[in-house]
Amino acid sequence: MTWVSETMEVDGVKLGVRQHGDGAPRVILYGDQLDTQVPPFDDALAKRSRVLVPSLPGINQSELPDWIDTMEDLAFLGLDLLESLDAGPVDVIGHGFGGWVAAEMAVRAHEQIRRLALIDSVGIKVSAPTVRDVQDVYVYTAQEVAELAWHDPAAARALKWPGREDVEGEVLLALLRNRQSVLKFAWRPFMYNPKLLRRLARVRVPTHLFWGASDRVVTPDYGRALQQAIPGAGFTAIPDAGHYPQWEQPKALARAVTEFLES
Amino acid sequence: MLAYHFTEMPYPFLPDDAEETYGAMRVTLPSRYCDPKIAHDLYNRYLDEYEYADELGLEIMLNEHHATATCMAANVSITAGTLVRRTKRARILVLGFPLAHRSPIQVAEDAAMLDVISGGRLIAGFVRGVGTEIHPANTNPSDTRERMQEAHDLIIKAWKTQDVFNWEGKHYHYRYVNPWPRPYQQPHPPIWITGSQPAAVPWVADHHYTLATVLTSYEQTEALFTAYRKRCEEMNYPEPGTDRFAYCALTFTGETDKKAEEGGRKLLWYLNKRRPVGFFAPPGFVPPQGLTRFFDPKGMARYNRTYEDLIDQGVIIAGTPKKVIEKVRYLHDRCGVGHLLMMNQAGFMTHEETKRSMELFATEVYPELKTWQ
Repeated sequence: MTWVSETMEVDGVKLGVRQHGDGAPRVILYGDQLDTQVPPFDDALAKRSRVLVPSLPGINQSELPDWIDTMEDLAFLGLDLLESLDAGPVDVIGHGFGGWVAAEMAVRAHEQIRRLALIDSVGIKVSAPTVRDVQDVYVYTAQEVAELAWHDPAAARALKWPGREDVEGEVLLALLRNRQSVLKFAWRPFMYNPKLLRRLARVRVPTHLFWGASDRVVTPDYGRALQQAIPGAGFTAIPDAGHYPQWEQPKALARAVTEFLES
Repeated sequence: MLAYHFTEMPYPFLPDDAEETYGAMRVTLPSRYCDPKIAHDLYNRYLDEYEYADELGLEIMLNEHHATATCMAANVSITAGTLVRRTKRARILVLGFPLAHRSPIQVAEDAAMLDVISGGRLIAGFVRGVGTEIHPANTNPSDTRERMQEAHDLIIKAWKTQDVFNWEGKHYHYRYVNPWPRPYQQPHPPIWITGSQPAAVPWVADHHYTLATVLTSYEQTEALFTAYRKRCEEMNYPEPGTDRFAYCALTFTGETDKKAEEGGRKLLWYLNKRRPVGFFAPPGFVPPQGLTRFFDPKGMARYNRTYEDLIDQGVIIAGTPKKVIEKVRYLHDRCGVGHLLMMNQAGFMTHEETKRSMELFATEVYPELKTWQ
């Protein structure tokens, strides 16, 4: 069995989605990563249930119509996507920028989400104005990003990144388009919504955070601040992982996430 | 043909390792490297050169950039403000007001003030701002073109309406638009737009504005200007004259071939400054198709050009008066250019060298150029 890629339409927007597995649907939201690169974490999850990984608007095969230009638009689209599955409340897992979208969904509606798992997510501002809570990964070289975002920088080769000599042609083009689409929503303020931290008190669904212990793009301390803002949220550090535990420690992450979702 | 003197007012006196340590001359080079006493001398020297251009009969071009040692002109309205009173006849081309980064009302006011004080000598260039301006201004790179166009529409409407109106657009919201004064040139000063992407050209042609290229090759320039003329033909507009086309090059006129080459090589300073890709090409500033080459070592090869390449491409025009006339004639005939924007100064080129080159150009080159239609 392999992942099947297809198109679904939500609010008139065609979204690329890959899915795999049987059972109750679970949705994973990623940011600007290539859909053709499937994290081993996704495979592990798909052994236990039906997993849907839609690409956000402007990412991979998904359209980005003019009217979608704020994070709020993404949040409402995400909720409508869950509703369109017609499966009752759905488990939502978000990573990075996708985690931010998931959090914005959770502060707006409770009934479509069963449980919420956030992995190395962005979306809030916690430190002083002079401190960059989220590193400027789009300015740094591929090597600098490897050192910030991975526990083992050598492992960074698993994930395609612009500026590396093995990333060219259509792959490079797709990555740059994805990056551009994410930044349309996340440029200023950079990767956060000043309103979100306070609004997180509205989250009513069981929530748990999973964080690469070595993440220096958004640190575990940032994750703790996010945890404290969400009533009753738990926190699990993933050892020997950086910003991408779905790549660096997929088994440990899958075990921890499954335990939370099925507890 | 008209010729314009231009300098970015650089601050070249930096420690040898500064650029290496900070990765670039732009965005991240700390301002502690700027000695305000040296900057004081430099500003006044560059402004003297602009005043000298006025005396020599040349026109004037000004610009601005931010957070960079390559260009200390951080506010084009301030530079223009010092010159409108100190010059007598030169046209003052602001190229340009950075529309994607500034309040359009501020631009409408600044331009109108400059035009009124100078008695109608302003040419208002509108620019989107280059990629390295994105981080200092921290504006979203993905909608710069959209913001520039809305700002343009609002400014032109403000100048033409001459009455209070309401503007609730996508990016700009003003319920009482009423900038004072209105421009001296009615309904507004000539508008110029810079262009490097063929896709942006039809809009410039549709507004009958002058299209300016900056440090592009003959080949790129010809393609852009041909696209403009083609658009006019398709739309049945009157055939555009050479006054619709401006070309900016690094320029030096010397008494001998040897002196001209020495001067030309000094101008290379401007092109040799490193530009880290993350700042030069922020995501969304140009479409992904236009960005790939910046991330591809092979695509960057065209930035490693020799002095000879740059001379062949017309990015640098340097020579004796006779040679400069030949080169500009070639440019004029090949691309149909009516305005030569001369970056006569860059890097370590001294005041004396700059003045001498300007003088030679004004006395031995310009009289011939002026006769060309």
